[in-house]
Amino acid sequence: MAILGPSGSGKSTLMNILGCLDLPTSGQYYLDGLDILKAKENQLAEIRNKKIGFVFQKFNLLPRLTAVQNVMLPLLYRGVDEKEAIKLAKEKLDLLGLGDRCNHLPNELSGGQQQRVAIARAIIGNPNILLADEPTGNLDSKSGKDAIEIFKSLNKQGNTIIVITHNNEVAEQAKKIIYLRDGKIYEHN
Amino acid sequence: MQLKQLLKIILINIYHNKMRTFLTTLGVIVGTATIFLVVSIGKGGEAKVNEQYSRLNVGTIIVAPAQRGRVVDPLTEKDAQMFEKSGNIAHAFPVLRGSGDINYGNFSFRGNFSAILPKFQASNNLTVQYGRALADEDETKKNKCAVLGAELANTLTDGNPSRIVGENISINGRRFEVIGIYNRVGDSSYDESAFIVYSVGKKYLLGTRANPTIIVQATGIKTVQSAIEDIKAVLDETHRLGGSEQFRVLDAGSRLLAAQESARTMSLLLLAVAIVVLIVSGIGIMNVMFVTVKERTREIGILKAIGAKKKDILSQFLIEAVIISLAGGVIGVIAGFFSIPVLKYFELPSLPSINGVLLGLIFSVLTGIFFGFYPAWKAADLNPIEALRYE
Repeated sequence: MAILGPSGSGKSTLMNILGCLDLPTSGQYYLDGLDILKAKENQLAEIRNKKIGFVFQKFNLLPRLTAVQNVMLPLLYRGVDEKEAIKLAKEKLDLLGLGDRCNHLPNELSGGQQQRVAIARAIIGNPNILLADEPTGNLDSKSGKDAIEIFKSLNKQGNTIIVITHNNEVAEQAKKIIYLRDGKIYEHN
Repeated sequence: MQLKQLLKIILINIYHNKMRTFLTTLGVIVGTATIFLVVSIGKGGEAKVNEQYSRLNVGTIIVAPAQRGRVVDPLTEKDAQMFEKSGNIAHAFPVLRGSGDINYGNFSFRGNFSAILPKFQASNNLTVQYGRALADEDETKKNKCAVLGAELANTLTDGNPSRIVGENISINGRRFEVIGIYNRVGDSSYDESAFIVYSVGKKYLLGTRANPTIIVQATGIKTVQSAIEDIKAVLDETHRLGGSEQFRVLDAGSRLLAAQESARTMSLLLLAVAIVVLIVSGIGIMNVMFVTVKERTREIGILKAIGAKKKDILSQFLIEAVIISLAGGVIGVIAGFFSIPVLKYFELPSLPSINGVLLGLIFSVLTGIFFGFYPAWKAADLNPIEALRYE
């Protein structure tokens, strides 16, 4: 699914609300039957940890941690044993073609590689929803296409992927597009 | 998150900011070293006081004029004899103390001398290491002989005391033969003094200025208080002019307490200084932690987005502050150990102890916890959206 709209239309706010990072000023949001507006902070942290994976436009990797450390971090917050977490993180990085970049720091990687590390981090906990905010915005067109391909194959494996973008080309790859303008959904197909 | 992994991440962050971390720890290093040294000095002072008084009989009571200089109504040998009549008192000896030029060869020295009855030596644990002690005969024959305190003999002979025995010294121009040297007592009023017999001191050195102190030996520790009361009663009786008020009656036990008290006061004072240093260094830690939190605002947002709970963030920053302060503490204790020889050089008694190490480390950790908590709590309380937007 893609959420498409010009800048200022409220795409990012919608994503933050969907990702339980922000709370709506009015309205209701139920995720798996849980009323998010009434959830405690720790519950929200747990939802973000287990049910949602974020991919940000600016990758948002921790600069002092290696690729594999970045990827395994969500598992550590879940209390998974370090050895197990490293194993899973390496698997995901392998899957995304970064098997030989595991111990590199983010600034030693290209933009496309950083984005793939970010995607690996987002999917390592097998979240129900993957939220991607302008995932191709900071990438050259080749890397951008690669990222979209990764999303497509993840989607085929049964992951829900919500891509937020102002780029029609990106949006058109989605099975479903929601158009957003001035904070309102005015069209979807 | 498990502690081991948390520590790993914290150490990566600390390592990244080596220089800043080191500068932050400086205050803690100084503070902890000071605490360690304070405890060492305290212990050393205590040990020195105890050693000084260890050979001093606790049953000793000193009766002395309350004011220095000329006294209208001085103590007399008769007072001493009166004191001895009390059932609580074993001995009472008058002692004349004075100061003057002590000459040996071409060595001249401004020192103290005491004129005593020979019996005084036995009751005050004065024994000779060289030569012989003063004898009753010396008193009756008014022999002009002297026995020196260990420290005085050392000073006069440049550390070779035995050679002075049999030689002549002069005190205030009067010639005396040195017949012996006492063992060290640990009390400078004995060890740094020359001793002559009472009759000689009274006749040749002090004359009418004689203003004796009476050293009283109670029959035991338990009778010290009653002996003091008896002494005061006698003084009220025999010195009607001013009564016992014009004399000080001090027992060795309370002198020991006073010395211990002053050593303790010194320690407390230094401890206060150390705590001030630690508070200042704690504020330094707080400052640096605030800067660190500010710098990592965006990272904190990322951590929250991937599911870090408040307590995860709080413990990460709190432990970081504690590690910084504990590292300072450890270095401080080590620095303290290396400073002990410096104190020794300045003749400050100091004794390193496990208490000093523990107290220093505990205080350094407390500093980290106390001053690290607020910045850490601020970090944990950040709104994830605002943190993620932070540039």
